[in-house]
Amino acid sequence: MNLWMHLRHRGRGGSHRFWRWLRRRCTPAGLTLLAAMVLSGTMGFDPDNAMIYQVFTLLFGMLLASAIVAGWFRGRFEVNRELPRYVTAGVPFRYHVRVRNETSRVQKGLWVLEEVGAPQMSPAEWQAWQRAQRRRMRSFRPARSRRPARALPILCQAALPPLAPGQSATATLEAVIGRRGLVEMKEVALARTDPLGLFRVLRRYPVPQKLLVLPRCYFVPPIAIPGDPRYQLGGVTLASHVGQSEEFISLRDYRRGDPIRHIHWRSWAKVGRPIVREFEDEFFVRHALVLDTFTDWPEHEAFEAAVSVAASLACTLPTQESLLDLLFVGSEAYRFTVGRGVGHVEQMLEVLASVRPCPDRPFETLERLVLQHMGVVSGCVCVLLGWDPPRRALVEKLVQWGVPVRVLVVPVDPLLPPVDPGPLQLWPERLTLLDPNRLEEQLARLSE
Amino acid sequence: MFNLNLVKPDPQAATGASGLGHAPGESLAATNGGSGTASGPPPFLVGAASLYWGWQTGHPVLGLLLALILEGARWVPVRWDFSDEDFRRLWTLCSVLLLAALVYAFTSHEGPSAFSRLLDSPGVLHQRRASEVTTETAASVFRWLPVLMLPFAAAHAFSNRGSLTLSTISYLARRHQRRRARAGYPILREPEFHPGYVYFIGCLAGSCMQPASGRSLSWSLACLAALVGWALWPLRSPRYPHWVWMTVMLATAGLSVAGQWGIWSLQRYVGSSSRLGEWLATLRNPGEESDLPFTRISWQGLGPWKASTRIVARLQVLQGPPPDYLRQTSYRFWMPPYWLSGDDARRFTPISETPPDSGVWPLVANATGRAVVRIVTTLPGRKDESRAGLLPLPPRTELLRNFAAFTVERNDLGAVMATGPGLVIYEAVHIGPNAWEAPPDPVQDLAVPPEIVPTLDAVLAQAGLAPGAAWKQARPALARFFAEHFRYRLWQPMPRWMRHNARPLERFLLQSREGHCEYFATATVLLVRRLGIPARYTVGYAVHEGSEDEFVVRGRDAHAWCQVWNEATSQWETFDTTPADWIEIERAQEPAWLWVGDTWSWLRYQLELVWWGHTRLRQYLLWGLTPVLAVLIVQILFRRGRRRSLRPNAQEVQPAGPGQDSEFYELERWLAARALERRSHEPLGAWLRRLGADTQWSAWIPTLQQLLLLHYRYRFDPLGLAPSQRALLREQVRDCLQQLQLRRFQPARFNKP
Repeated sequence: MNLWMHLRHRGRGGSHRFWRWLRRRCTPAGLTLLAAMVLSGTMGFDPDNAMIYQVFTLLFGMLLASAIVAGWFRGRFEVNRELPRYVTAGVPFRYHVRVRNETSRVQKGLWVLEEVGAPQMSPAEWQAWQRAQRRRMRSFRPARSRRPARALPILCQAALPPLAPGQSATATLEAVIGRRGLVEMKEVALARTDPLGLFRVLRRYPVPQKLLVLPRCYFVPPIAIPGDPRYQLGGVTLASHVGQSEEFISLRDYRRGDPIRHIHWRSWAKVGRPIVREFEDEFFVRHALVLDTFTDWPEHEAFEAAVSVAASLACTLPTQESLLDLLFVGSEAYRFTVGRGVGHVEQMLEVLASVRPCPDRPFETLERLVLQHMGVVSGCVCVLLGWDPPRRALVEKLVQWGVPVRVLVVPVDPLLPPVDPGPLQLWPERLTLLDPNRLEEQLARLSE
Repeated sequence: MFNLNLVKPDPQAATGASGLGHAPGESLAATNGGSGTASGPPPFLVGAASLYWGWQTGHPVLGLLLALILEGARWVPVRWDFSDEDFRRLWTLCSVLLLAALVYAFTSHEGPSAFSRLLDSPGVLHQRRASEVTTETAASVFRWLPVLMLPFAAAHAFSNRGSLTLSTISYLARRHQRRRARAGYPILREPEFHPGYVYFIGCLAGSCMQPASGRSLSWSLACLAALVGWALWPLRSPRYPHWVWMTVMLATAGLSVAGQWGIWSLQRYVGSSSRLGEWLATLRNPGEESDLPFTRISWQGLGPWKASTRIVARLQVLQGPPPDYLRQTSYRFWMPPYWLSGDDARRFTPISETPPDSGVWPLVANATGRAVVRIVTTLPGRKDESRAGLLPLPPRTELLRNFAAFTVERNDLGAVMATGPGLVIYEAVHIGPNAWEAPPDPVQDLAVPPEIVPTLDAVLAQAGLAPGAAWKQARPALARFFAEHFRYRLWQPMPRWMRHNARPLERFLLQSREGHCEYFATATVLLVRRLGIPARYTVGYAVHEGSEDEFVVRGRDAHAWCQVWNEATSQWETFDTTPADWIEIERAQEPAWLWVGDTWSWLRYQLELVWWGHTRLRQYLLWGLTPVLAVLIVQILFRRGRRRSLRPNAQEVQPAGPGQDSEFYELERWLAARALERRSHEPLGAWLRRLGADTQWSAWIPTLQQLLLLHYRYRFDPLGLAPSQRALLREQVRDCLQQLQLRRFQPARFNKP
């Protein structure tokens, strides 16, 4: 990765940074006057019209006087930020900033400013993004080159009440973050305006904190995945944690093949022959949620949509009486279980918040992971990024195992209609094609 | 979406609300002043801005009317219930009006002041008035911004909305929001603006589009500063005491005065006679024609690339023979390589239009003339805020008529300078018996530089003329001499030393005997003067190209010839010794694609006719625009969006969640506006039951409950509603709303589905 790419990634958009600076330093009134000054300046070089000249000089004088009198911000303050534990992408949230006045004078007219932006792509990811796009662009065909949507970070501001020396106050800021991931919030700025209220002078206080943004959850109607409760080896306690359990319901004679650790030593001592503990056979429902992460295009909207779909399903599928396993392949194969007190759905969302695509492994890794666990699973929901032969092969194997499958496809590369159900020929309603731009309504209309 | 029937919320609603236990003042406040969250401009600011605008544009009564309308909302306790779509329509109306005004002013390109003048019959003769007027008049439309924005601002003043968001008025913003919502992006809170501020800015912008004329500039500026300060007062920082704010404002005033002085001196420097100033001035006034004080002979001639085929003038012969030459001005002193015109050139005598406003400009007292030619040309220079230039006229022109100029002046050397619009059309009555150029001055018109005298004598000897010969003899002899011994040559490249040090004119006369028209004219003038006959060097154009009635004069037809004073007739005569084949030689050089340039030039000519108002387009435009505007206004204000009625079954854009576009929410909003709102923890069914208990609308509740069932199905049923039921929901809700608005306390019968 060379320096040029690095600089292009970092310094992308000199105009981007200029607008951000302008927005930080000028109040809305100041921006309006600036725009008016520029307009009157461009129209004013018609010397027949003396009035516009005057307006230009008036506005220029006002802005110049404001800028000079604004001076600079002096004073010592103590600034702390209190963020909520989790935040969901796309949902506005509030957080508090506490400011303590450590100067010896009353401070009035202070504002708290912070720029809250979406999590950034690392330079390596940015390169991978460009490579993936280039691979898909065909020459001689005018295709619209997509750019990752980079909006300006939101400028959150709140006014502080007048602070006496030693007094502290709390300002509530409201922000919204668009993408899931880990957001690093670096600094909070305190600002005050000049007497006319046109420019701000800032003072930045570093308050580094990280905020985890969970993926967006949409409303999904309860889809019942058909499936019988399956025998879960080890009972409910083994589902809760890994390790030896102490509960047993009865004792019986040793049979060849029983594990040595189940031998109840006290009974053997009493009776003289091996006695083993017998555990309760547990039957309950266990669902698998399979997330396909095999794409070479990071931060593609289809991938983000797939993660959102998985998160929505995780919030919907019942976990009071059943378990839900999330299976995906990241840097290695992961299986994450929630339900029945084992884990909380929030934890699954946390895991989903940091899922990254896996470009270097073959799809068979996921297939192997899924098939390993098919023995104990009652039903399976697959969220796939395409409908090409390897994925169809996975679904076919699941169907052959007799596991009821529901497939939701969010294609990265657009699929040509009509879509062949393939292994789901007998139940074509179990294959659903989703469009990232209309995700909410399509999920809301998911039926049985 | 209910109709824009401007139903006044009648006092009964207020008393109804007060019947629920609210104080009348409270309910009034709730419906009157808009939201407490948005802050509008300070009180009376908008009125003051309207008055200032009225004062500046010279329409004080109109300004007062605007101020009364907008500030009257403060005392008139009536409010209209405008929704977002209504504001959108009003904004569209204002934009359409602005666009129409721009188009109209574009075609008129005349001076500012009243719109009423634009409605007059726009013949050429009614179109001008004089000097303080600038000819760039697109700005004149912006002068009317406050009036154009009045519908929107008044609607906002009389509504109970606070600030509006950008998506209320901008289609693009709305579409952007819709796309983001559909794609699941977060819905950011949009920036809001207050229309009062927008109107305020419009007033200030409109009042600044004047050229400051007459009234005192400093008072206007002081008022402007006061208004801006008043607008900024609520935005001041609470940190500083009031005196700091006042000081900063005064510092602003000081800085702006200093800035003004700076710009003024910069302007003076630019317009001054220093080299930089002159160069900057030429940037502003690119004039290609000959400057009045002097003209410069180019010894090399015109390179083939310099022969411009741009059409300079178009002629149409109305009566009599076509003119051979069009003359612009004459020169007197020969100072190689310059011909200078002397002091007389700057002395212009104004010509008055007799009778006034008729377009007739007589150059002599009793003007008669046998021939009339109509000329169309452009005025390239600038003078006194309008365009100016020397008119190319046929020799012995006596009268100009049908000429919509601002001023016309002439000088003694035969130059006529006019100021007017950029494209001028005039008819010149020529071949008249009287002449208006001054008779020759015995010293200035006979001056010959001494160093060239021997050459001239030698040439005259060759031509067989003695000094002191009469003009009657000299003319044919000189003509024959030049025709026999000289050749036309357009381009003779020579190195710089030859141009500056050698004597090109002597070389021309004695050795090379070939050159272009400037050589011939110069030589002829000097020879004639040596004979003792007054002569002048004249520049203008030669007319040769065209069909029987219509001629075209191009840049390459620029010509120089000699004018000789004929004692017998007491008139200046044209004497052109350039070999007659110069026209063919120049024509031979024209490229084959000349017709392309000519077509393009003709198109631009038609555009310029429209631009400078020489056609009746503006009248047609006025008659055409008015019905179109009327139709648009009707449609915008009173009809529903056409898209809906055209295709009721088409798949409309689905909103983000199913059922969120249900019309039942309008019912809810309507009832909420009457202080019967649903509390945030109340489901809709419980709310309806509560309303049924104790308000005057209790008779409606069963009907509303039926509608609620439909609404619930639409909103929450995964299978949704069938299209027929959906239409039923929509229509029944609309009927309900209409009846409720008409204050029927009993529902009429519905047809059951």
